[in-house]
Formats: sequence, structure tokens, C-alpha cells
Amino acid sequence: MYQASLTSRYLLRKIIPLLAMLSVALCTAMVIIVFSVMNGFLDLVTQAGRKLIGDVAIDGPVTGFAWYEEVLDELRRLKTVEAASPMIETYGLLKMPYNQIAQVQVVGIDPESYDAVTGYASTLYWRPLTEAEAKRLPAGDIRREQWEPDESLLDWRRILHGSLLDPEFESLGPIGPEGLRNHTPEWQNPHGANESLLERLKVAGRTLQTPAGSPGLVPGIRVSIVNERVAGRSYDFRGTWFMPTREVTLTVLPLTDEGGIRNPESRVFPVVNEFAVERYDVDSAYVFVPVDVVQKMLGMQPVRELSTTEFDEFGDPVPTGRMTPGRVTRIVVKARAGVAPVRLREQVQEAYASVFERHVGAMPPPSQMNIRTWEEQIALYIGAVKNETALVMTLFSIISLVAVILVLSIFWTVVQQKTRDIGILRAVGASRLGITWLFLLYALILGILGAAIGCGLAVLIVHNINPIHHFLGEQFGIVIWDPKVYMFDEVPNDVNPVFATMIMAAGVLFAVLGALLPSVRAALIDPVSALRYE
Amino acid sequence: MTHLLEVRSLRKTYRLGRVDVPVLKGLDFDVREGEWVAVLGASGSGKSTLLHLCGALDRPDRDGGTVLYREQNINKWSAKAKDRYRNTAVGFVFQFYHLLPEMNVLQNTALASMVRYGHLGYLSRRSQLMRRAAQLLDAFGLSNRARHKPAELSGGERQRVAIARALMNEPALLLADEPTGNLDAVTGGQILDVIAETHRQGQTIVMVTHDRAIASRADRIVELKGGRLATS
Repeated sequence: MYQASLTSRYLLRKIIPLLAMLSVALCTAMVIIVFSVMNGFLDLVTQAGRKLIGDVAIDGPVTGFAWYEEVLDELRRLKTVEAASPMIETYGLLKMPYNQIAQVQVVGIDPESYDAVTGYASTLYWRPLTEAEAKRLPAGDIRREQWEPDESLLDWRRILHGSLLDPEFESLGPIGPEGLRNHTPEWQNPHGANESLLERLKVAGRTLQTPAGSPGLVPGIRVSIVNERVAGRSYDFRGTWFMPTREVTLTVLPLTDEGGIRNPESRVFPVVNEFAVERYDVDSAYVFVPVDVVQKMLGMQPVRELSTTEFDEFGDPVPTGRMTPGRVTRIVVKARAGVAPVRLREQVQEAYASVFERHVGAMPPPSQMNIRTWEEQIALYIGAVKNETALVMTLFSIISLVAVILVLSIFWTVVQQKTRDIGILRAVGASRLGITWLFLLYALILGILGAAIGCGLAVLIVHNINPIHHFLGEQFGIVIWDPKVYMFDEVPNDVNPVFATMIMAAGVLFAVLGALLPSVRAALIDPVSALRYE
Repeated sequence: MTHLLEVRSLRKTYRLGRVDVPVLKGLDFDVREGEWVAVLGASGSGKSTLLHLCGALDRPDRDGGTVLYREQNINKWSAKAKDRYRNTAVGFVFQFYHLLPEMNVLQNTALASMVRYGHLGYLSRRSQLMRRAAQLLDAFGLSNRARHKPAELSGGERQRVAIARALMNEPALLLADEPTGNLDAVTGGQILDVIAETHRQGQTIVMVTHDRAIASRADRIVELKGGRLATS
């Protein structure tokens, strides 16, 4: 009982132990902040990396694999499969307005099934936002126009409703739907003039078609170098041009079965939207186009088989009546809720193998196919971040050991100061164990208070880390998390309660460990010497 | 009267640097139940050492004699038994009071009972123990000082608190080490009155002092000279 009584009094009347508490608090706060930011960063990287790749993917050779529709049918019969979608991936060149040319990763998709697998539609940048979504954007973002009475958006409102002439590009003619109506009938609104451009862009992006039904192209938001990234998941288009509704030319290189290059194929596409997954290597390089269009450009579409022995009167080969199946390079699959990707991968492997058995020789064997879960696909990508997180955490944990040394030295001093009290307690019958417990209890309470204060401090800082970061940037020019450099606009600001609790427990443990040696020393003090201690 | 304490051939040697300094050189000494014994001796004669050995705060030399409490050799007891002995069988009063500065007078008085009963035992008896502590303070004229800190008390008041603390667990033996050594003559006299009063109520007391006049208040005086008892 005397331990609790004395501990509460020591706590209220001694300054030095409060320093031990402060050191535990600071170390706990430091580790929680670092862990939250780094782990949040890892989560963001993982989430961004996971976008647009489904749960499991079948990757074939660059020349594609045939009978993919049978594979899709087989997959869709599985109870573990929610959706599956064919894709073609190849490299290409994109010629944008004003002779801007970029090397791009061309991704041919079937928009509807691809959206079912990956949530593609939610990555479209130009779409009407809910009020809650719009409110999260910084003031001045064009996409707030529906909700934002801000006069600074007036010009953008005019663009979206098609009446602005950008002075810089005035000589090039009007831009936006109003101007485009004069030049590109593709964008005339079949549903009437009242439907906003954002609504039309959303539909066009989801279907990869203009309102008139022409195949469209959706580039990543950073494909055009003039889309300048600003904070708050926004891009500044002012003084530049508005990519959607513009026309671009895509050039791809069809390959022979032997891997040689045929004549390049070019095609003009209207840009029907842009997308952003907040992953730089995707947003700056990927362009989506309809899979059937890419198939044709690459010569991978289904064709009628021609006879090699029979010819018509003009000497041309006669069709055999059979079709050579089309090819794709990839199939992405989404698992039903509760199905582990690893389990799905096994079933996808079995499904592909069963189709292969029906078409031996006409498809790559399963051993040549790459069937991987999403985690396996991005393992290399997130591996570096994981290692970095582990390294930083290890370093900060080692630094936190300083708290143990600090607590040890503080408690060594406290025991020195309390030598006579120890003698008194021993004289009234306190045991050595009781004396040890007195100081350990003291350290335990200091540790608990320190860890709780540290956790509170960390939660406060982590939750306000972005305003703090903005303040440092504005006042002192210190910008650690530059949205132009990093993939993410904001510093992760969530504290994982489980890990925070673990770190707090470690803080308490460190405090008790630090006090252990002084506590044992206190217990071993000779009571007679202690009573004579001056 | 039976012997409460029997000290036989007690020897204690301190080592100062490389030199062994024998303090007690084979001392024999008995204390009967209800007796007040004054141990008289000059500074450095080993009076306090004798008290510490009798209270199991210190150990005699190897084969350095025995201290028998109710015919049991306390030096053969376990550490736990010695702790219990110090807590319940003896009560110490020191020259420099040795009160815990963070606790108030009432809590200092109750300290030995806090040690004795542990958390749950103390809490379940809290009101009873606090009543006992308050009664002791009342008996020593300190009831108005119960909530004060030791630093707010005079020397005499502090020593009265120390005596109250020593008596809290109703020990069989009160060991007083120069209880008036830090007080003026008047205050010292008042403290001796308090000790005499507890003795009148049956308390066995061993008091060490260098002052013959103070020692004369006891039932019996034993004198320590050269590490042995000179007079009995």
C-alpha cells in the first residue's frame, strides 16, 4: 500500500521524474508519428498500386493469346469470380495538340467489364462529383463548379458550358463544347444543351465513346505535360488547354508472331476524359482505348480463315468458313467478397489449363502464362517502400532506446535522493521486493502517463500534419511532401489504433526496463547506511 | 518477568578502508518484558549498532553471538521473517526522526500498518487503522497536526510523530536511538515524558543515550565501554 501512496506523492512533488515521463512521451509520440506516416504512405502506395489491376491477372506473351473468350466464359462460371475482363497492353506514341508527343502504355479495355473488375469509372477525373467529394477539393478546382459559387471558377464554368476563348490560344479557334460544336460534331449533345460537359465526359469516359459513338481515348492525367499538379489532388489547367474533346493521334507497332514489327498503325481519337489513380508511373504513361480498336490496330482481331489450297477466279484464297480467334495480352479477374486472391489464383490457373487442354497448340501452355495475384504483381513496386518503412521504424525504435537510458539515469538519481526514505521503509519492515516494486510502480505509472501523453500528442500532430506541413511551407518554405514530386498530395494522417497501442505498451515497457536496475539497487541498499545517509 | 530479548556474546566489526574496527566485542545483555533499559555510552561506543542488531536492521559478525527474541535467534530467520519482526515486534525511534517528507503526520504514523497489511488488507482496515493512528496522535498532543507535513512541525513534534509511528503496530519492543539527541532540554524532557508514559502502559523499551541524566529516567542503565557492558 505504501508504494501506491508514495508513488502518487512522488509524482506530484518531484520534477526530475516528470522529465522521464516527458522522454517516454516524446519517444512514444515520435515513433507513432513516424509509423503512422510511413505506414500510411505504404498503404497509399499499396492502394494506388492495386488500382486498375484486379485481384488476379493472367498475362500472356506480347503477341497475345487466343481463345481468351473461352477463358473468360470459364472464369465467369466460377463461384469465386465476381467479374473478368480482357485487355491488350502495348506501347505506342501519342501525338497531342500543339505537337506534344509522348511515349505511352496503350491499354485496350472493354470499359464495362473492366469497370466491374477494377472500378475504372471511379478513376475518371472529369465527372460530376458529389457535394462531399467536391468539398474535399481545394478552392478553385474546376470540378467544384457545380457546388462552388466562387467567382474565380467563372472562366471554367464557361469552358464547361462551352463559351470561353482562352486568350493564349484564341488564334487557334474556340475550345470547349461550344467551339467544338462548330468543328467536331462528335461532341454535339444528343440529349440537349442543358446536360453539363462533366456529365457528358463521365459517360464518354465510361464507355470510351464520344456522344456520337466514335471510339475515344482516355489518357492519364499526367500524360499531357501541361497538366500541372497542385495540392489537394488537383491539376491546374489554367493558361493551358483542356484535353477532353481534343483529338490525339495514337500510333502502335503491330507485331508478327515471330516478334518482328509490321508497319506502324496510327489512328485519330478524341480524348473523352482523363483518369487519375494517384500513381505517377500510371498517370503519366497509360492511355485507355477500346480493346476491339486496339485489336484491329495490332492485327489481333478475329479474322476469317482463308484456304491455302482453294482460290477464286481472281486468284485470291477462298474463306474456309472458320474463324481465327482474336487475341488479348491479359485478363484481369475480380474475386467475390471474402475470396482470398491466392485461392482465386489457383482456380484461375485451373480454368486456363482446362481451356488450354481443348486448344493445345493454339494457346500458350499454362507454364508460359503469368498468373499472379495483385500483391504478386506489385511486389517489386511496394517492396522498396516496405523496406524503407521497416528501416525507418527500426532506426527510430533504436533511437527510442535512449529513453531507457534516460529513465535509468533519472531513476538512479531518484534512488540516490530517496536513500534515507529507503532506510526508513526498511526500518518499519518493508521488504527488498517491496522497495523494488515501489520504484517499478513509480516507473510504470510514469510510463503509462508518458505513453498516454505521447499518444495524445502523436494523434494531435498526425491528424493535423497537413495543416502543420502547409504552415511550415508557407511560413518557412519547408516543403517535405511536395505534391509535384510525390505520388500523393497529402501526408498520410491516420493513426492505426492497434499499432499505437503496441507502441504505447513498448513505451511503458521501456520506462519499466529503465527503472529496473535503479530499483534493484534501491532494494540492495543496506538499511543502516541508508538511515545514516546525508 | 521473562526475558523479551537476550543478547549473547554479540560481536560486530566494521571495516574502514583496510582496517577492521571492532565495535562490539562480545556483549551480553538481557531485556525483560515491560522493562525500560537505557544503554549509556559515549559517541562511537556501539550503542546504535547494538540497537540495529537488536532490531534486525544489521547482522552481527560471522559466529558473532546471538540475539534471541522470545528465545528465538533472529539472525537465523529468513529475510521475510526479519521484515515481519521489524514491522510488528519492534518499533524504531531515531535521533533525526526519519519521517517521510512527502507524507503528512497521519500517514507517517500509519506507515508501519501500510507495510504490514499490503494493498487490500490496508484498504479493508483503513478506517480502523486511521482511527488507531489518530488516537496515538491525540495521546501525544498532535491531533491538530495530523494533516501537516513533517517540514511544518517543530523538532519535538516530529519526534512525537516518530514515536507514534513506532507504536502503530503495537510492537513488543521500542528501540529508541538518542530520541532527545536533537532536541533542546525542555523539549527533550517532554519526549522523555512521552516515552515514560508509554512505559507506564507496559511498553518494553531499549533506549540508547550518551546522557546519564536522560538514562536515569529508565528502570535500568547498562553502560557500553570498549565494546562491552561496563555496568549492569
